[in-house]
Amino acid sequence: MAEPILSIQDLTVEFSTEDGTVKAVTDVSYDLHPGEVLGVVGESGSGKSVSVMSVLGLIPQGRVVKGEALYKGRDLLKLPQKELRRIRGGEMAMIFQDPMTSLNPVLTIGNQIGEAVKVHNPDTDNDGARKRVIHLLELVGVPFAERRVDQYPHEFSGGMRQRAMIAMAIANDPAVLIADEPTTALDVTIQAQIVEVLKTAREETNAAIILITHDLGLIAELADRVVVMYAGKVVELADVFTIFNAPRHPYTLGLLNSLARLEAEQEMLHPIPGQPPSLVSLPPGCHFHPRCELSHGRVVCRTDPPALRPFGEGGDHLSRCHFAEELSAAQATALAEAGSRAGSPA
Amino acid sequence: MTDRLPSSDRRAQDGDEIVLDSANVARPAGAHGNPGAVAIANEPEGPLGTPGLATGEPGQQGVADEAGVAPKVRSQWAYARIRFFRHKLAVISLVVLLLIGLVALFAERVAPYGFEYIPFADPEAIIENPNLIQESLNRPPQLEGTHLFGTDNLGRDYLSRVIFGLRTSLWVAFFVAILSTAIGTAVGAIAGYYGGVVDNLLMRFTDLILTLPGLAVLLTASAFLGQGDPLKVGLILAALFWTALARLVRGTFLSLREKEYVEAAKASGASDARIIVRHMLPNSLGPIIVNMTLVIAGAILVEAALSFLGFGIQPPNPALGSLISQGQAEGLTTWWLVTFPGLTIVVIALAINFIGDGLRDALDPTQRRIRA
Repeated sequence: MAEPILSIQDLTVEFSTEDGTVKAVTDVSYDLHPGEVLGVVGESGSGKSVSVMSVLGLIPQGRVVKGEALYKGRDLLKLPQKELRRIRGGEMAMIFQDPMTSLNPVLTIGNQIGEAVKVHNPDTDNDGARKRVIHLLELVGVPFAERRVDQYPHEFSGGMRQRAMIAMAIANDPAVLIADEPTTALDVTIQAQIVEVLKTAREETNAAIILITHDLGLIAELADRVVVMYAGKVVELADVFTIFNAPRHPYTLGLLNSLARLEAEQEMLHPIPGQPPSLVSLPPGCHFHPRCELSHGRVVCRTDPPALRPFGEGGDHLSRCHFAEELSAAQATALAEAGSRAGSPA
Repeated sequence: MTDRLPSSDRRAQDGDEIVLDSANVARPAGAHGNPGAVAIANEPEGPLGTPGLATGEPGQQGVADEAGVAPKVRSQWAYARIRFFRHKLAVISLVVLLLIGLVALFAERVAPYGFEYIPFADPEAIIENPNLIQESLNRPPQLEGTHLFGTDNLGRDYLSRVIFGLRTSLWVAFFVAILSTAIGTAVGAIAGYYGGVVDNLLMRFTDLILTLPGLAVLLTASAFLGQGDPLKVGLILAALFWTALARLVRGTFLSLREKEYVEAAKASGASDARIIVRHMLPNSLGPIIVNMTLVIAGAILVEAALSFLGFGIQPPNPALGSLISQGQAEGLTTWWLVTFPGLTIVVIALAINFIGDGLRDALDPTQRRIRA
């Protein structure tokens, strides 16, 4: 496989709060390869956003304790602010979760996207920026871009705003596009369209995308590889087919089982029991053991933190579970119970 | 470019579907089970961004579009303006203040006399009319003749002196308002945006200024720095008047900096200065402008108080406060010397306060914006 474009190694980020130190992200490592879509999934508070945002220096309250984020051979975490700013929005751009609040209400859409253009190309004049903005808006499927460009965010609907946000993100042909729950704030029908726009954006820029989401449907639709995070740690990493068909971590399986499925006759949802742990006082051993349906109270789960171990051929399927081998059998049972619940990605 | 977009392909297909649909039964789009058709009903996003319009067939949109049915593009400021003009008292006050401002601006043309014009200064005039001095001193206001506001103890036309005093006072007030707004905004913005140590230092300094007993400091400062010069009086006032705004702007910035669009601007590589000036300041202009009107009113009053106490603008330069002060020295018999400048101050202060009220209502973010 080609050289990764972004390589996050042993990243640890902490927050100091009144209740103690929150270990938001612990020893997270993953690579992003050129042109791929890397899905990062997990519950709220699993550290999926923090791990990415801290790379861009967008978590001012957080403290990067250790680790590095190599982008084109340079460690982003050690870059001076000024150079990091040049990368932000230029080579690495972000799409935010909530398009209703991510656009400045007092500036026109054209102004805001144009700003993204001008910040990174100071030579661009207003006319050039405007043309570029109109082109970008057309690209993301905003109709009547010539007129829409002069409108204010409140005149855009949610879906159109998210398109505008995507236009802003791809304004400078980024090499890495970070999409932080890009569809969460939209209603379902619009989500499908935004997925299409993301695909267009990807074709247009050839950017590698980090897709942060808790929507497994979105992952199935877009991602090539998936990182599953739990309590600030990577618990499983594999390509998207493996994640959906042969997960090697009980948490991943739990996520898949908790999906609502229309085709199967299913009376109840199958949630993962319990609550996500507090990041201030994590359970000892495997952080997932209090909720794990595979552990069956075994001592080793409570005492020894499991390592991230490779599985399968090539070793690019990683899982952090003492008993990952048992999962195939357990999964088979679960699959049998739930019919085709853990089906394959679309 | 657009034609290779999947979404536009889909829109075309869905359009077909709806046409078919309405040909059969006039079912409302979106009520049937076909997810594709629902999609188009829920994604109006057509030319107008108005839900409902896009449910018709695509051709209709185009017609509506060319006919200019599109809602007017109004900025937040346009809405604020509309709301302001609904506030009658504020509009009247604005007109009054503008008139007063014009009078002050063109004082030389409007005032019947110069503010230092003493009719009996010319010896020949006294020779012509030996009673001139007696006649011109402390004349009460009269409707006939030229001294509408009467004359003072030197026989100077009081209307002219009030008009010129108005000019001095307004000049000082606007100077103070602009300067203190600039200082307050800068301090508040930097403190609120950066937070932490910077915030602490700036705000403790602001608190320090706030704890100073205002009038005492003003008196001392103007005694030392020189009284009488409107510029110096303005500087001294501005140095004390920025504190309230600094705290206000800091508070606004503290909440604004958590906004996602600020984060988004940061993520798109904008510098701190750019974020403060282009993204955050326009969003806090409302309170800043309202505060500015209050400062104008306050500055006029405090400048009047200073002048009244004899530490502000010095004679023969008239200022509204010093006019009252001198008039008061004359005693109650010459009531017009106190009443007219006093009334002027009251009118200005009231007008500015009403304008401030109107602006506050117009710019109040809770009253406007998006129905999501």
